[in-house]
Amino acid sequence: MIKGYWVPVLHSHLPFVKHPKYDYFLEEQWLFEAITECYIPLLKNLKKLEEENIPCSLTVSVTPPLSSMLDDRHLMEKYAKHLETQIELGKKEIQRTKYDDNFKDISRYYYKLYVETKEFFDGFLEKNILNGYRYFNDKGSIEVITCGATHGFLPLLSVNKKAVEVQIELAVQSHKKHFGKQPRGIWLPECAYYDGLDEILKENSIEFFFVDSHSLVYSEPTSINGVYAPVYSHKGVAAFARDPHSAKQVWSSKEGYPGDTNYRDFYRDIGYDLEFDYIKDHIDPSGDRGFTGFKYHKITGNSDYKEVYDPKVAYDKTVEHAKDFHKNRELQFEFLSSHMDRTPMVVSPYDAELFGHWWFEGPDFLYNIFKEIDKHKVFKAVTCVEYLSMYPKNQVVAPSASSWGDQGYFDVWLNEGNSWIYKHLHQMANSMTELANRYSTGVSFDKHRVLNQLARELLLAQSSDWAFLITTTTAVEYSQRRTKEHIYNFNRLVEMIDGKIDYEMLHELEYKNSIFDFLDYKIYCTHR
Amino acid sequence: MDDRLIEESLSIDSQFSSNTHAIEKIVNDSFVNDEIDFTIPTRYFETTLTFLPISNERYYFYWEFTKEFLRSYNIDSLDSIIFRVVSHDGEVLEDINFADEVGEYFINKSFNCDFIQIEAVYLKDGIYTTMLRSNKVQVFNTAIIYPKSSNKVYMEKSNGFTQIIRSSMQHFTLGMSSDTYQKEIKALQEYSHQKEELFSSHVTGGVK
Repeated sequence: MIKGYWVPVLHSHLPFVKHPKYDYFLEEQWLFEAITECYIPLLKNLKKLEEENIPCSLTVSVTPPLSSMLDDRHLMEKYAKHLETQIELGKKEIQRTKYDDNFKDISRYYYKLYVETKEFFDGFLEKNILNGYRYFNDKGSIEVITCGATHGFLPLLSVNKKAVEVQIELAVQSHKKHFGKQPRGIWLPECAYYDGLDEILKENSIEFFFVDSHSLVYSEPTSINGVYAPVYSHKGVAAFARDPHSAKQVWSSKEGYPGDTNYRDFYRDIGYDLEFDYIKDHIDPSGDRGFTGFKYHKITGNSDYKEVYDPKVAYDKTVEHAKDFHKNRELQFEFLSSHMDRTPMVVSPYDAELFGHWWFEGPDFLYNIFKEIDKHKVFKAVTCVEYLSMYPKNQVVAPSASSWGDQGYFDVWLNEGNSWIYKHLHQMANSMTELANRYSTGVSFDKHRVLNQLARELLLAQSSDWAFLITTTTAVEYSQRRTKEHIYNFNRLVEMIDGKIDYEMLHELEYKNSIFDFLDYKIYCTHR
Repeated sequence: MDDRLIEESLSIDSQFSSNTHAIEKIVNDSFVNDEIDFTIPTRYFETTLTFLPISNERYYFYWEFTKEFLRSYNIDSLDSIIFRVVSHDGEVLEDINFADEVGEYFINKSFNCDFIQIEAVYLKDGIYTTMLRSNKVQVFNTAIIYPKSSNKVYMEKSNGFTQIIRSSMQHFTLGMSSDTYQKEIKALQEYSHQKEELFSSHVTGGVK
């Protein structure tokens, strides 16, 4: 008998980056690292599960900016070149370490890894990462859902309702374009919900969304099953809440699996460790050192002393940790069952990029969990859609406003460091709505281009990533500049509406900030 | 399992509740392309007063008054302007004496009502006049909302409800101190006992 249902969710997102003028651009390297370490390993493991006939049910959000990038020919061509460079570095490393008993095996491992990645990319994926997601989505082993159009933090954009409506409507359009069907669910950017958002979701035929635990504990009334069953909002959209226990078990910096000393160390990388002249062709051409992806050490301990990484030992740990995770879920389901009048459900959402990038062995861990589930058959992995088809009747509550950020509310995205952003975002949204209404019956071809690009600049400025990065002081200057860049572009384009069009600038922006090539500015009209 | 859940529930991880945030891990270098200086406006020459919620203890608003707007109220000194936090039924909850033509302000206070709003008011001849109202903001709920007594389904769950909510609340990092947590649990337990007593008195014909 099935003791419970486990709903694993991976949220995949990167901000839109495209720098066609440059052969090497750091932001694009983030994308390439994520493809190599996260998206391809995930897809490879899904393929492996399929070949071994092991059932898999995984909900995966692929945000519109990420979909756009993974489907972008220019970026995919650059990624193919990036892989070739990595293979070259792998060859160099095999030569360099051939007499080094410590590192010769691990350098061969990386060479093989990049060669196999290239084979998978060229072969199964046909040089397009989204092909993999489409394949498994169509097969039913994953349920791809959408996210806000540019990952805007919706509660703070909602002073202009249209701004939120467009984030959702465009996300649905983007999903249909990339995956050929209506998305049934959405990952709200930063899991951020506010009262009234369900109405917009409903209007866009979204059937379910996710919230953090406290959204249902502090809902009105409190959810009778806590986070262990979904609820319906008053507009009839299902809300699934994160189970705090399984989240912490995987990701806690203190107790989580990724901190195991046998796993690969994230920070030690030959991009920093080796002589500059040797490594300079594989790092930023400006000479700034950075990650190459060739990381030869394991976590080892808390000190700077690091031992050599052994992939085989690390893989065995993923088996052990998958067993532990499985055992804990089983116990959790037993405990919950004794207090519930239906089979309990546990929702475990994680950022997809940390499975592979931050936790290098994460994709293997996922693979091994599905193997464990199949072996024991005491609980079952399901998607939200599968769960709702089994349990279509659920309590109706008003989920409380919340996010999954630090402190559970909006502090991360609105504080003394990043508050300056919002007056611009609100002003831009108001201007965009006003312009869309003014030109709702149509304009000349060139003015149409300007208006479409205005909408793109607004959407890109709305990305929650910039406010987040300012708060975490990770890339403050860069994030401030990205925000200012889109505000600046927007205001320059507004000037072109009633003045002279700067065709050179317009063309450059259309190529660089090319997200949503299907976008029509009239989406911002309030009287369509 | 139960004991361990209770024990672990009291330990608060100081990491982000979404400590899975990838972008922070990926963007480990800051890079700045400074080919163009992206100058952005400091003001938009439009009168506005916008109010945003941050948490149950924090709110933010920003404003801009155009000269024409101030002139229309014959305001010669910004010192006569104050910002007022008012409840949905018009009760004045807080006065903020901080005005400029353009500015922003963080309110670090919790309010015990459903909706709040900011009003820009000015004082003339001892009378306060409202010039501008912000959008309304919903106050965050951070408490268990007990179901109505008529809701049998909660009553029947009794202790099960407590256990489920307790488990759902584990590892909350939403700024809830362990003290608050204990209070919540205590309230739930009391609620649960009350319901159990009600239930037992009901099945024994009202005799305790």
